[in-house]
Amino acid sequence: MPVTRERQLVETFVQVADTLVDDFDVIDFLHQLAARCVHLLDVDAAGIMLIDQRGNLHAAAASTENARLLELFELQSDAGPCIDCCRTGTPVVNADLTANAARWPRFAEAAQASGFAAVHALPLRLRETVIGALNLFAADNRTLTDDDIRVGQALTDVATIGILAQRSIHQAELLAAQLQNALNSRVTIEQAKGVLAERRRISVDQAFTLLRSYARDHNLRLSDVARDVANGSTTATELLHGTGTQIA
Amino acid sequence: MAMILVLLDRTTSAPDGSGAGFSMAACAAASTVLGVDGLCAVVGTGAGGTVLAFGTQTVSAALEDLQFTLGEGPSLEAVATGIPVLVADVAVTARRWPAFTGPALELGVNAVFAFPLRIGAIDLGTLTAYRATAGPLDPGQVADALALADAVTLTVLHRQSREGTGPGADPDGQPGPGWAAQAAYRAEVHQATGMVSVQLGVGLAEALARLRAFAFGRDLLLADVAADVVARRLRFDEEDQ
Repeated sequence: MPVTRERQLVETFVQVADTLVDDFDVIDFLHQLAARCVHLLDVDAAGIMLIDQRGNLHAAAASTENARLLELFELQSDAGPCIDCCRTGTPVVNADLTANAARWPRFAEAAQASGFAAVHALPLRLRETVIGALNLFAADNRTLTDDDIRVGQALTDVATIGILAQRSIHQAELLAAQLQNALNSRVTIEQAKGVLAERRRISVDQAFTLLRSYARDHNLRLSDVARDVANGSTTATELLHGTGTQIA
Repeated sequence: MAMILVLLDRTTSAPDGSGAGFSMAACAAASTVLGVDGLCAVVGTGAGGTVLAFGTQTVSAALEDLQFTLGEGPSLEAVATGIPVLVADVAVTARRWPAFTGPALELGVNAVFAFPLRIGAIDLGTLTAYRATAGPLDPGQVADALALADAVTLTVLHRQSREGTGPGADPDGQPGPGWAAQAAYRAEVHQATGMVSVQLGVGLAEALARLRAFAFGRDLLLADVAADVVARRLRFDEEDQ
């Protein structure tokens, strides 16, 4: 359905442009982008991983914020398509998990146990520096075409632009600081998920959904809501005590 | 840089637990690697005032005092925004910090680099470096400074929990700052930090320290303890009573 896809692509880039000219939340932005990748590239899950200043990979956002998927990202700190992609700066595409079982043993086993058959990783690049990777998971072995890969690479470039365009960064060239800020936002969200899960007696996955829909409904930045929740700030009382919010 | 972090780790793992703080050797070595003339960490960002955690030179301390007095400057901006504030040339910052620029130049400070000390929503203060000559940090130095800020954050957290506070803070059972461990911090560790903070009714910093102490005291991996908390196989309010 090429027409539909073209339209989806246009919509995606219009939405991205709208976001980038506005005051936006980087993790929420990456989360949306990952969700768009799933539709546009016809895969089953997508995530964006970033490299910290020590060269370690961390999950920044995923199409579906569920613990099992995040675990699959984390498992790649030693061996996996994202690490390979980041080291070489080149895409890892159409990697069948059975065929690559020896290359990434722990990752391949866990990904297959989660129902995935193939993975792809595309680099997030800024000129010659690789800052992370877009990770795609497919439940079957349909291959990504060259067109898919081009679209995927355009979306990863957009992710890079989003990270560079975070607010309050005076030194636009200061990539390491921007990456660290994005990663720290992610840590805050994880802390907030924990606080909310414990308070509301829900799972951490549900806690993320709740945080995000609350931010949406109140036109707030996801990271700001997460920070208030994590610190038990009074502005988060409604969310922490469940008055007036529904668990999605 | 790795060696400096080890020095830092060793210093504060020393059993005396004195407020003497960070070793001068570690500070001096870090200053050399970062190509700066002074370095200091200020802990405590609220109205409770600031505590000088360490400093290589008196200028560093004067610079912090100046900002605290004036209520403006790169370190305070780093605290407010949570983002590193890197000033390669103080002489051109008069519009940004009208009161700060002149006195800073008089101190002989021509470049300032301020890094927030934080883990997610845990805000501890700033690490600020200064140089007598103007000019940016190179990308490698920025990466090193970020790594140093992480290490200092964990060290301070560790020291606070040891000096501190809650029941269950066993002085002999505390782990070292374990700077290397942060690289291995997983999403579950941060989620568990949030959960434990609710269970114990303490802040995130204390909750993280308690998680680490629990893991260390039982010779478990922090990641495994965190996984048990998130899976609700382990609760801290029951465990410690």
